[in-house]
Amino acid sequence: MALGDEESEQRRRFAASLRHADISIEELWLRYFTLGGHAGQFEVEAYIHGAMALPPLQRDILAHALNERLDEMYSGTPRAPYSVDPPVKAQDDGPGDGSERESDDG
Amino acid sequence: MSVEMPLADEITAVFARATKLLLTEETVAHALRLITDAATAAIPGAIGAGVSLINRSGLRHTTAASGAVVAEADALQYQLGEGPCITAWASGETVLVEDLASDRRWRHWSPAAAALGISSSVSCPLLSGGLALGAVKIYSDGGQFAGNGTVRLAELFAEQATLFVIQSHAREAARTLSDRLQDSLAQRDTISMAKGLLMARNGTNDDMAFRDLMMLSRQTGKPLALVAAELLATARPLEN
Repeated sequence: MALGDEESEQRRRFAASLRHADISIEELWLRYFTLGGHAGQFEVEAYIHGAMALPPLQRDILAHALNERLDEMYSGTPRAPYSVDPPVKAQDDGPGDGSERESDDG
Repeated sequence: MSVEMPLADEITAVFARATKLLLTEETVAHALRLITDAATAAIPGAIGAGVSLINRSGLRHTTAASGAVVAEADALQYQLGEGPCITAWASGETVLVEDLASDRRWRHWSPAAAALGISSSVSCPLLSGGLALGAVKIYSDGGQFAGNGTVRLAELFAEQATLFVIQSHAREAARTLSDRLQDSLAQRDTISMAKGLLMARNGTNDDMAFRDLMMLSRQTGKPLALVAAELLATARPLEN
């Protein structure tokens, strides 16, 4: 099934990171669900195998679930990319780009 | 997590429990008791029968026993760590003791059981998907079990008992899962509330608020659920 180029690239890198995460699809889905993901386990599995598209936010939540898992493992594996990555120069401590946040908390 | 089931199965189990599709513990205990009574009645020379359950942590107990001698003989097996039921459970095969007095397989249990008046026994493992869950055993005093007929009957009773034991395991798994699901739902709820907080604060829609939360999590290196909880903990009334 055809995924858009951008989605396809995100999925490909996601799948590459997933191989190093030592986690079952069930467990990953539970983490994704816990974060607030809407897609079912079947859809998630289909997306991982490139058979079905997921909306950008759902892809990103799934990527975040995987990345939290990799963080827990202190894994050196590259993190799964997000569809909307902030256009920052420094990748670690940049204050975000402020595009959406008003930082009035605090 | 003690029980690892695919989530779809887990949710099915919870749903089944919630909607009372699973048998209650009393029903299972009653059914096992009926099976041991039927086994005692059906097998010539039997004085009693029992179902031993052996769980993952090695805990052994007799859940249904017809007759005090059965309970005593079983208790001896658990104390001594040997006996035909434990052998049947460990090997996954039926263990027939035709003449206990001359049987040398269990050095301690055999004489102790003989002293209770037991002369013969047959023990069948409860098998499910390559796992042995326990054993059904039938004891005789004075008589001697022999031949394939007895073994076949005992195995039929064991198969019945297995079905009920699987039921009680599904209950246990469903209970474990409830805890896990509750954790998951509680975190999801926290995240959802934090999202609402950001929406109100920043006047954004929920997708954007969620992206903000993810960004905070990435920037701070903290899990999303923690970021959400911290956000809620420091929330103050809107100044307006």
